[in-house]
Amino acid sequence: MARDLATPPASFDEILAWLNSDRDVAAQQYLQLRHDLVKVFGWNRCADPEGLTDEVFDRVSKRVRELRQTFTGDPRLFFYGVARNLIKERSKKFWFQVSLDDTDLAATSSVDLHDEIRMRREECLELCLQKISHDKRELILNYYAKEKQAKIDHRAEIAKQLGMSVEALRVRVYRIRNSLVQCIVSCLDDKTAQ
Amino acid sequence: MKEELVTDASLRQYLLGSVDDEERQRIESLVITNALSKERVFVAEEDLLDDYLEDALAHSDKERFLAQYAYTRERQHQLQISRDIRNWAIAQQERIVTSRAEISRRSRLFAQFRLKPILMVPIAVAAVIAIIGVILWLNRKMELRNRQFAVEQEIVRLNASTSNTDAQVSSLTLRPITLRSVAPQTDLVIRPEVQIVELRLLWNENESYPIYEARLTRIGGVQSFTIRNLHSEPDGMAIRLRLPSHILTIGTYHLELIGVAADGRIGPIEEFQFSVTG
Repeated sequence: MARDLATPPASFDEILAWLNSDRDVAAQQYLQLRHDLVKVFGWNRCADPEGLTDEVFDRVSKRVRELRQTFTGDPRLFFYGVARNLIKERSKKFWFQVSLDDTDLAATSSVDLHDEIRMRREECLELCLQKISHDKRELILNYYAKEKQAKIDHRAEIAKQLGMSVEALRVRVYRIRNSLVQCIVSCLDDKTAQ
Repeated sequence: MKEELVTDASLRQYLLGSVDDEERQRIESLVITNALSKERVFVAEEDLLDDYLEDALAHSDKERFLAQYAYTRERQHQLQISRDIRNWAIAQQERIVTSRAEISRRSRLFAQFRLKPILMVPIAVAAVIAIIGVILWLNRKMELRNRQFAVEQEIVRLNASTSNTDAQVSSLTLRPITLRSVAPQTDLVIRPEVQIVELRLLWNENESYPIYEARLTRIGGVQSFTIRNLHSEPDGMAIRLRLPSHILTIGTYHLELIGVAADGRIGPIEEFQFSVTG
């Protein structure tokens, strides 16, 4: 349910200027904010996080000139406030709006594990794994070497070997995985476009 | 809204949709404004996905997880990619473990055939001795061959028809074994100053030959000498054979004399025997 971005260019410029006086920094903050709002909508089980994020920016764009004069504090919190209102407004509409196709993860997975899609994912994973360094691949490999109870001690041992806390190790692995996920998503988009 | 108050447990409850509105807003505000807090939520989310994928969630948490993550295709997609990465890592690990097991199995197999360290030193010593023995044997063989070659050259020189020498010579006439079978054995005493022993080999055959060939062997020994191009005396009754005295050590010698025709055909053989005594 993707929506067209209805934010007029002039308002968009105003939004950027409000986020940061440096336009390049502002552009980065804008992208980050979009990403974060999509995540927040997702965590709130909203059916169309992207569309709702567009809606947030649409709403803010209509008042941005005034807000720049009146709002004090981190402008991102204002965007978040609008997002919360949207979630509340539409909670009855979106909350638990689980389609029949999506209720059973296993069933959905079996659909998604269709050979062609799975092959694309595997190809992209292979491709992206080659793009990261050997050390990073090794770390991911090591991190998942054990399961359940044994993994706790194992990961503590890895952290000790690397001279970092388990918390820092989790963050490092997350970052590697995140870069992999970004790469895979981008790769899948390219394959779909072809 | 202090960040330190956000624990992993509360983040997990947030991700499972089990926190109240106030806590939800607190966490989400931090996600929007604080990069580190946001990362913590993402890490907690990855841990949650992992726990689901390895079926480590409690039943109630699993139900809540499915309600959250089966909800949108975007989230399913995220889950599938996480599953792919995890499956890849597990498959790689299994491959490594299998590979190590195979190496270990081969090592054990190899170890069964490998000698114990305590035996290694004696075997190594024996091998070195054997190698040295072979080298010495080869050297000895080479030395004997060279010596024999030198002796044969010396005999050739001594028996050349034009060869004249001032050396001390001891002569001995030998009859073929058939003729002197009833006669006492011929003994040869070689005095120290004697350098050459000249044997007159009586030729009992009717036919004479342009050249003769003699083969000398010490009975019980391994060495033998073949002397070619020997000639008979002018009357054809005897063939003269000169030998350096140093090759004749104490013992009994057997000598074959063969006539060789002009066309290379081998004629009759006469046999002689003599003893060198002290």
